[in-house]
This record gives sequence, structure tokens and C-alpha cells, in this order.
Amino acid sequence: MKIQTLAALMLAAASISSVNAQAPAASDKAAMRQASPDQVISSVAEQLLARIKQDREALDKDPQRLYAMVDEVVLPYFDFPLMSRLVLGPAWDKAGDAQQKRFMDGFKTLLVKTYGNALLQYSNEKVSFSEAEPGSKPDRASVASTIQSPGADPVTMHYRMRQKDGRWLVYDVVVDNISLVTNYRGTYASEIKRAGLESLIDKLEKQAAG
Amino acid sequence: MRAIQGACIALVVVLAGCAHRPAHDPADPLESVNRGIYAFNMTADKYVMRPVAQGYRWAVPGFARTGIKNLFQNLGYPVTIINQYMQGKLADGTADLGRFLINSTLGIAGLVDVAGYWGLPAHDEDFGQTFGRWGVGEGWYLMLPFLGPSTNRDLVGMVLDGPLNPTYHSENSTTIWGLSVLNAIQTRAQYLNADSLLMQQIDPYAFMRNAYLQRRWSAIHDGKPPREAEPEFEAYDDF
Repeated sequence: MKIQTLAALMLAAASISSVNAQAPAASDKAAMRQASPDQVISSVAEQLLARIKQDREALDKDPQRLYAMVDEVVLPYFDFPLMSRLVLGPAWDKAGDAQQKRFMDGFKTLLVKTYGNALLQYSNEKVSFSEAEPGSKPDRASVASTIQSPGADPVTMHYRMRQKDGRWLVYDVVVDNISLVTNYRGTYASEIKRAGLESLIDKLEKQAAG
Repeated sequence: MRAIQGACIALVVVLAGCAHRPAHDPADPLESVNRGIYAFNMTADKYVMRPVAQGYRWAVPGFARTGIKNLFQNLGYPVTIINQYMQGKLADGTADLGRFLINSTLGIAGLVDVAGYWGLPAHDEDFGQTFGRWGVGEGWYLMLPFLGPSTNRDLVGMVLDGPLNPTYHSENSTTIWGLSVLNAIQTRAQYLNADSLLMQQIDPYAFMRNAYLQRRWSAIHDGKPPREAEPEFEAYDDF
């Protein structure tokens, strides 16, 4: 029991540090400042694929390890506060600070799990990246990536990014023209309309824990 | 059959009065019925379709699955060609006609996507998209038994698409059933990787509804939907 609590705490600490703390070393930080949106996406993808290749069995067996890996490699490049705000829409402004934080934590855990499990599905796929397309404003861009698996139509993903303090961060992932932010937003809006924000947060926390 | 098609066209004219609604605020007056059918579909999927599709992916090598996928895409291609023309996209329609002829002959009845290698990409059009292009709203969201998500408009479109598939005119019912079952399996197999995304949702029904409507809206605009479709979201997008 104690070991499990400790593990959970360490995981929590790791996730907090990966979101709040900036990149580990000053030189890395400087390098990431220079990185263009497509460089960010392809370097994260390369790291992920390398980690999965090297550690596949352990990651398959131990979901916590998988989630910690996603937390470490992927999360620093996601703009979670912005995603949470976009997903909640008008409900974000009406929510109190504590509610906002609880929502963000639940949503983040859920996304890490979803992303991690989706990642394990892939094995022999060919992934290619294209150059970043400029967005509607200078601090926005979108990077397309195409996943080709045998027997399936190619799936195109768009990573929508914005530049924050010099670094490019992802705020939406569009899979096959389905924006995940819009999708979560629609789903959560119906729940808020039906039973309120508190009920949505409860459900998220339950799902995140389960 | 003709009477059904006539009735469909009449229905489309009626539906033309419906406006498009953004995916995050869908018209779903049959929600309680739809949810019942969804639960039924998911049970059937869990015990039959999903295991069969997993078996298919495990047993059939990748190149063969690609061939089978190409075959069905080619069989359905007359639907795409006709709807390209009906949407006034003459150049695309003609390119797609060329694609169909090349793949049906050199591509061995569609098994090999020769035209794709030559730089003629595959498109996907149907009557539902054509009606959408003409300004027909989607009407109500529908969950069909076994067939999955649809809308009034897309259901009407589907009935009109059917006769354009060469399989439909086969005299041999074994052929029709065999091909339909194989197509269902290979289509389901393509979506296996998306299962974990759906299962992690607090409300998978609403998530699927939203995904379906977004995807159709985007398909009507050939992948480039106007963003003003969601004015509320735009306001929040202004960060």
C-alpha cells in the first residue's frame, strides 16, 4: 500500500514538474526556442518511437510506466491550460479556480491514458511529416503527419500549435479532420448542460482513476 | 425500387429546409432511441465484429488487406465519380473516372491502386455529401442498427448510393452476401486503432456523434470546412 502511494506521488510530482518546470537544461531550452513547429513534432515522434521500440514489453505490461513515459516525452509540448480553456469554452470563465484546476488535472490524466493506449496500437506503420503551414496569426502553425498502415486508408493528423514564450506548443490534434478539442468540447458541453460542471469533473476524475 | 428512390428525392426536398448545425450542438431528438441502438451495436461489436476484425488483421497479411481495401474502394468508385459531377467538379470527376478505368483493368479489378502510384489520388464522394453541398442540412442524427451513425440526409444518400455499386446488380446472392460481409470486416478492421480513443470517453455515444458530424461536415467541404460554422468556438479561439 505504502509503495503504491509513493509511486502515485512520484508520478504526480513528475507530471507537475513536466508541465510547470521549463525544459531541463539551459542549452536544451535555447535549442527548443530555435526549433520550428515541424522540428518539434518530428523530434517528439522520434523520441516516442525509440522509447516504444526499446521498452515495448514493459510498456505493454505496465500501464503506469506507459503513462509516465507519455508524461515525460509528450506533455512538455502540449499547452494544457489553453486546451482546457478551449475544451470548456464559456464554462471555463464561470468555473472557480479550484474547479478549473480539478478539471485540468482530470482532463490531462485522461488524455495521457488515451494517447498512451493509442500509441501501443501502432507497430508497423509508416509515419511521415510535412512542413509546418502558417496559421491565421504569426504565432500559429499547423504540422501535418500521415500515418500509413497496411490495409487501411492513410490517416492524416494535424497538430495545431501556437508559440508561447518562444516555444511552439500543441493545443489541438486533428485526426482525419476530427478536431479533438471540438470533440471533447461538444461531449463535455452536453454533460454540463445535462448535469452541471461539478458532475462533469466528478466523471472525469472517476474515469481518470479507473 | 424506383418508388423508394422517388420518395427519397421528395424527402431531400423537404430536408432542404433544415439548416446545418455545428457538431457541438447537434439536432438529436431521437437521442434516447439512438442510445438504445448504440448500446445494441456496441454489444454486437464486442462479441462479434471486433473479435472477427481482430482475427482478420491477425490472419491476413498487410499487403493482402491493402488489396482487399483497394478492391472495395474501387467497387464503390462509381458513386464518387457521379457525385463529383453532380457537385459540378468536372475535372475531379473526370480524373476519378480515369482512376476507376485504370484500376479496374491494369489494377486487376481494383486490387492494385495503379492510378494512385501514377499520382491520381483517391477521393470519396457520395449522395449525402452532394446534398450537403447543395445546402441541405443534415436533419436529425441517427444511429442505425449494425450500420452505425448517420443523419436523415446521409441515410437518404445511402439508399441512392446503393444501386451505383456493381455488387448490387449481381444475380448471385452468395456473391452479394459474401462481399458485403468481407467489406464489413475489412472496414471494421481499419477502425481497430480508434477503439481505445472511444473507450476512454466519459460519454462514448456523444463522442461518436460529434466525430461523425465533424467528419461529414469536413467531407462536404473536401477537407476544408469554413470555420465560421462554430462562431462560439471562434470567440474562444481568440487567445
